[in-house]
Amino acid sequence: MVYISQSVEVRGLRKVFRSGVVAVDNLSFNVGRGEIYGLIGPNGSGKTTTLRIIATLLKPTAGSVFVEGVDVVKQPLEARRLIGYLPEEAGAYRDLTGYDFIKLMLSIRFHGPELEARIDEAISISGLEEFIEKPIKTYSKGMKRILALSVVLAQHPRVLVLDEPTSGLDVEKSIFVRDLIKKYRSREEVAVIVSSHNMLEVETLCDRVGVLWKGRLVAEGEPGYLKKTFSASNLEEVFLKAVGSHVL
Amino acid sequence: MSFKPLFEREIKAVLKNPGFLITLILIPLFYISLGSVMNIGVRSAVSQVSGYIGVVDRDDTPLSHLFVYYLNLTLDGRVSYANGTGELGSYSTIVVIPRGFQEMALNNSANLSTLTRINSLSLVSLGAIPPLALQGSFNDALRYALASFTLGKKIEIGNASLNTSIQLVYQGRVLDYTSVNTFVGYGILSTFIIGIMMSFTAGFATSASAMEKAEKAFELLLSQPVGRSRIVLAKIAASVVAAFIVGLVFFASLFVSVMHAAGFPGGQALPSGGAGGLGRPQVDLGGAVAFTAVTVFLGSLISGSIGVLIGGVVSDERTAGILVTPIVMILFGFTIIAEFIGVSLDAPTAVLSGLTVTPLPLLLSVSNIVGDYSFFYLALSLSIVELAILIGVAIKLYNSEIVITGLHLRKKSPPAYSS
Ligand SMILES: Nc1ncnc2c1ncn2[C@@H]1O[C@H](COP(=O)(O)OP(=O)(O)OP(=O)(O)O)[C@@H](O)[C@H]1O
Ligand SMILES: [Mg+2]
Repeated sequence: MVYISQSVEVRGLRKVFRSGVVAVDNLSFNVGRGEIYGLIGPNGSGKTTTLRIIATLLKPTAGSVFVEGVDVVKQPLEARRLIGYLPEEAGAYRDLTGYDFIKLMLSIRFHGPELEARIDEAISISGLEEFIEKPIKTYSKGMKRILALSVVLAQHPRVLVLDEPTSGLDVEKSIFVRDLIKKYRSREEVAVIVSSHNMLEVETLCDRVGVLWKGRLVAEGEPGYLKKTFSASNLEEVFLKAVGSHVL
Repeated sequence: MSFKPLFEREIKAVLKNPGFLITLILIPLFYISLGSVMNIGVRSAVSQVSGYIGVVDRDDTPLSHLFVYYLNLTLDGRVSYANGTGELGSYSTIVVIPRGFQEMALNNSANLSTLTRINSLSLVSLGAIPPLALQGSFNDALRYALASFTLGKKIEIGNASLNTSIQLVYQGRVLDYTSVNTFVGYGILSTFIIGIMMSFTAGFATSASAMEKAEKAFELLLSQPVGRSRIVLAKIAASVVAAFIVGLVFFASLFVSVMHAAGFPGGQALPSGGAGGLGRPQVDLGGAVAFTAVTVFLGSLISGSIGVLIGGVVSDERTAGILVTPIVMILFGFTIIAEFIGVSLDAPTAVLSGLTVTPLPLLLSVSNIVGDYSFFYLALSLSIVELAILIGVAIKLYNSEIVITGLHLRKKSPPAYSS
């Protein structure tokens, strides 16, 4: 596939925490409009750190990230308008109802009749109509995750940054979430960056995959290309081979 | 059986908490210094009570001589003649017997005025000024003097008593006891109110900010296109409102209980009724109340900002709760210190009062009494500068990544595989 222009450009990204841990090391990749890019890698390989930098929550030690031409370090507020970010363990305010939570989060970007429309959209995306007036503390983990994702999607961001969107979800809900992402991508022509430990999911969902190891990109390409290069029958094998060759 | 490991885990969690250790160090420091401060307050009060008493006899009549003689007897020889009120330096109190004393005493309407040096305007020293304790001796001495003077005549002396107008000398100024007592009493009450309100606000702001992180909704909020300063200001404002609601309920209950106990803390009645016409009686409590409201607001904003700062830096509620304890202790410490030793008009007191906010109303009262507002304005501007700095730092913190990563006081152990 050929993408006309890049939506997200990550250039020479490096993040060293105050503790001295190098979480991301000279990382570069692009994501085009309408493309779903998967970030995979072992625990602690720097996926969340990378996504947090893109979402303007962490500042890079070196390197740059541009989102639709906006520098996320220099113009964080502009960048946040373009990005919809689902954090790794996104929860919700326990004491609020689902409805109030959706309203609170959406009222930051929208007002008046548009706000009402977005709230309705978020509720219908979530499929949680029956529970929407109930306090979030009565929700299951999967319901909370879907609630947060619905808020992110109803914001109609230009770039979706999703940190393990299906972690902890059952099979049915995982498929539901994957379908939401795909539908949203093709409707809005947005760039999607998604991290995951589920190789099956990455294989079916992502157009391109980057394999991270100790903050470095050790392999990148379409799932089919990666399988060929590593002469593997599935992405799980690719993962083991890509990471394994570096552990030696 | 399984209690022990559970208990060990809880104990370890508390003991390893840096906030707990800080509290552990602060408590002894705090109470040791508090003890010495109280000691100063009580000692200066005691020195007032046990001093010598000088008498300036402007009447110079047989009855006034007898009065002084018997007063000296009742007070174990602590009374001697002074040449004028200018000799106050050598006495703890000077009693002035006015002209016409004898005539008025025979009509049972005698007056006395007293002049007492006072080192601090605190409740302890105000409650311990000699004239309050001497009132009984004055009356006794007057009765003995009248009995002796009118020997052989039948005269009703059983309830003869004196009207004493009590004046205080503080930093070279002569002040009326009633208005000083009202002002200081009011100042101390307000100081207490502010101490309480500030503790509430700090607690609310801290736990609200820390809870948001625990609920994992924080990153979602921070990735929204909203200025972090708005998030910070909203948190501070909300905790101030919450503190006002709790404060209102708290003080309404306190007021009801005080009314039941019948005793306004500052409003101790004078032994004599009618001192109102002397000294500087203009007690502008309306202005003081308005100012207290402003100070409570300022103090709540400051402690709210401190709470938001703590909540922003820590990553769990447990640490937040333990870290806020020393702050509440410090606020209350200054409240108690101010109530014991009072505040004086000097630069260090002004700086401390400005930074801690709690003693501000007392400082205003003292400024009001003395008629010098310069140190009060210094303190007030310091409070405002402090508030601006705290809000600025809080906004900076929320714009930095510390609010996401937390401030690790201990070194994080490196991930298992990375070596
Ligand atoms: N706040 C922090 N302070 C210090 N080091 C951190 C911090 N957050 C993450 N790290 C370190 O950075 C590295 C990358 O962590 P990161 O969370 O990005 O990994 P990840 O790929 O998302 O892992 P996982 O698959 O487990 O979610 C790890 O070594 C981690 O210990
Ligand atoms: Mg992660």
